[in-house]
Amino acid sequence: MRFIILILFSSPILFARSEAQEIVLRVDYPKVVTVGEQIRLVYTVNTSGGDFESPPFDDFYKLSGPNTSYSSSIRIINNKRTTETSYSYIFYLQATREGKFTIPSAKYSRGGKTYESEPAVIEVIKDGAGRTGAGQGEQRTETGQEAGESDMFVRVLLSKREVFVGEPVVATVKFFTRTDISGFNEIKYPTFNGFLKEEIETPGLTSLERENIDGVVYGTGVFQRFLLYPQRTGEIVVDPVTLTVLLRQRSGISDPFFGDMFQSFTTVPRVLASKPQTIIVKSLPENRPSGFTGAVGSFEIISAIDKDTVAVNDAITYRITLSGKGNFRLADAPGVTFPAGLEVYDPKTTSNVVNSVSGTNGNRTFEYLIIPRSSGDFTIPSVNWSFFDPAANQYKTISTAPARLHVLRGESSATGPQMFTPSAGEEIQYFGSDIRFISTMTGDLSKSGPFALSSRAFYSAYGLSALVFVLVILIRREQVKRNSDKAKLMNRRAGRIAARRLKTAYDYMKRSENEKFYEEVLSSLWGYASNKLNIPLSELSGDKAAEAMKRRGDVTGLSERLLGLTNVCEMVRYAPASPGDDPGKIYERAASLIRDMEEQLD
Amino acid sequence: MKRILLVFSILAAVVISPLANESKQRFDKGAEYYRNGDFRTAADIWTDLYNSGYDNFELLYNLGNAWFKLEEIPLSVIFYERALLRRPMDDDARYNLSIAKTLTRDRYETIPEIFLIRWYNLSALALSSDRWAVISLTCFIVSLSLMLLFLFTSRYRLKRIAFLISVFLFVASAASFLFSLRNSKLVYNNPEAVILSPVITGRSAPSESGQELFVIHEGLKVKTGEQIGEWCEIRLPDGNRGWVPVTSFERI
Repeated sequence: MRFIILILFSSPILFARSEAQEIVLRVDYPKVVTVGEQIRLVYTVNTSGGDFESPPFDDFYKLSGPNTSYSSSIRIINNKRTTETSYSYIFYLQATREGKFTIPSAKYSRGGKTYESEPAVIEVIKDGAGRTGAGQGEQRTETGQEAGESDMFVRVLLSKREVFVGEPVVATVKFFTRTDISGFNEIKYPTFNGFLKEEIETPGLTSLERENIDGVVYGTGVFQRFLLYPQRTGEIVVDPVTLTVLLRQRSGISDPFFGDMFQSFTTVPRVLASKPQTIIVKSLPENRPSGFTGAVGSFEIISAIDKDTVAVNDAITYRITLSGKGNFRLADAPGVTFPAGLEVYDPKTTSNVVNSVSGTNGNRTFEYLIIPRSSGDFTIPSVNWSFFDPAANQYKTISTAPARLHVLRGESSATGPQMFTPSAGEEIQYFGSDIRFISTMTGDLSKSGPFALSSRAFYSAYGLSALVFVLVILIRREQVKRNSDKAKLMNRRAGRIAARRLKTAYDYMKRSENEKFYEEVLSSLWGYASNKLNIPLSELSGDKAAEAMKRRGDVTGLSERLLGLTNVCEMVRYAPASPGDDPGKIYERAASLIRDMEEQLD
Repeated sequence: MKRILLVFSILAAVVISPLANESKQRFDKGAEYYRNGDFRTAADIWTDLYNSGYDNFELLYNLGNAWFKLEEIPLSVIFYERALLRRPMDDDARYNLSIAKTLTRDRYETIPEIFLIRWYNLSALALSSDRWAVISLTCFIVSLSLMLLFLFTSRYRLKRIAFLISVFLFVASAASFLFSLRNSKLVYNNPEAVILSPVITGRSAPSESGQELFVIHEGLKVKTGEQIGEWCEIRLPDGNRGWVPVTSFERI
């Protein structure tokens, strides 16, 4: 622990010391030269007292060096003195042949430590007309020469030639020269029709850099960089950049005695224009998501609510922040559907973006002021926002998390009895229509079909029941028929039974047992009637018998005869004193009656 | 005898109940997917269930909803129509169908159905074909039984009541048999169809060379008629007729 603390305390001191004594060996050289040109190679070290070891210059011819130069500066700021020293080791080399050569690192050792410089990579090209580098060591033969077309030009360099709508193109306005210039005048940038133009911060042009363009060494400088966001599809032409260059030109004839030494120069303005260029702008794919407003790039979205519990009528702020890279100017506020009951004002938009070569970076915030007008729990739903990602060549949808808001009932500020004002009444708000929700009850889920109608059993059931119906009727009819047969039999047997009964009566008559005689006659008559008329004895009465007999074809008054006879018999039986008929006569009447009934009734 | 019955009922329970359970589970799974917004999977599950022969109002109605959410309006119209054949007065299905119909392109004058036919159809659809058939058979048997009672009883009042009820039930049996037939025709052999092709031209003859009569769009409900080869005659809601390819529509 103590050890760590020690380190913590000592480290700033250590760092400060090492920073002050950081030894850097730097190398400066022109990157592109022509064959035969003189190269100035400078190694600079920010200290003194060490040993410098120069690298071998195998591919170059060393003209001179190392020539050392020393510089030291002392600065006193706020009574604090800083000393800066630097030693330069300068070599003059000459390129002998074409190619790309690497000069190995130079070494500098001091205090037992060795520091190395970066290796120097120099491209040597063949160029008979190479006159750059202020004509060092070179004899110019031409005098009063006009600088040609290829000596000096301005170009608009485009990072891409084929882009999607809204995808940025970096346009670099760059100047190339092979002759001396003394300055620039009037740079006129085009309007960039069809594009949304954003300037990229570019450092001012102070010195030209050397660059190899198609085998010729030019001094180049960047004037300005733009980010161009195409706004429409098709081929869009980038108009030329025009520029006035102040050219240094020799004037008059060279002095025969002093040569170039005292040559006089004049400054000549010259207008340069870049060539128009074409960018092909492709339209975005068709399958646009619903929340797409035209943003192209790569974005992230977050939302935040400053308070989640508020009282009614207290303002809250809901922020949606889009961050990332792309055409922020087209990033409109995402459509948020706030729940009813919240009063929402139009969003305040703030942008914080930086343009760079890689595009527009930063963020854009939409700030909604919300005033809840009624209490309760509200949820601001998640917001979907779509953009086109040209790198992935597809649309992407990002969304925020839903925000919950709890609105408390406002405290009643009024003191004393409160007046109750009925609400004015509000119409129910309808937002749109949608189909109703699915049924979640399974119901009677079964395989179905017109089973009954297509099954034979169904129709057979009809047939079967009809058959049973007919059968029942037939059986019943048969039964009735059989019953009626039985009646016939009884009918037939009735005479015989009656005859037998009468015979018994006759026997009683012979023995003069009158009471029994009458009884036997009666029972034989009734028994006969019962059998003959098919009426049970218990149900038989005089009326019923008469009725039945009439139905069966009694036309000659058989029933009266039967009733008369039975009456007589009963009278004699129950009132023996009454003057009854002669039993013989009664017997005769009974026998004849039975005979007649037998004949006449069917 | 009792033992055999017991064995049968156990077998039936073993065979039928897992089937019923499984289909119910699939139905519920589809509903869950639908709730979570995955309408495609829900539609797939239900379509599978429907194609394997399961069929009830809820399944068809939900399928209609799923297709609607997938913006397959013609398919949703078909399934709502099918659902309404199972439960013709269902409020939700009628409402959703009306919304789906507002999203179809063709507007037309409908010839209203004759009142009697409309009521005949609605009555036929009130119960399933099988239910009607069972009712018809039951009425028939009871009617015959009462007729027997009428024939054989000697009690006058009973005789009279039995006769009246028997006649009434016989008529009811005949009517429900007709309802069963009508229901079966409407549900399983409906001549109505919904156009599935985005745009289709009705022609005067069943061939490409026929005179072009009209252009209709997907989601329109038509009545199909005679079919010759790959062509079928359809009748538009306004009464016009024309020939279209069989592949351009699906029957309800």
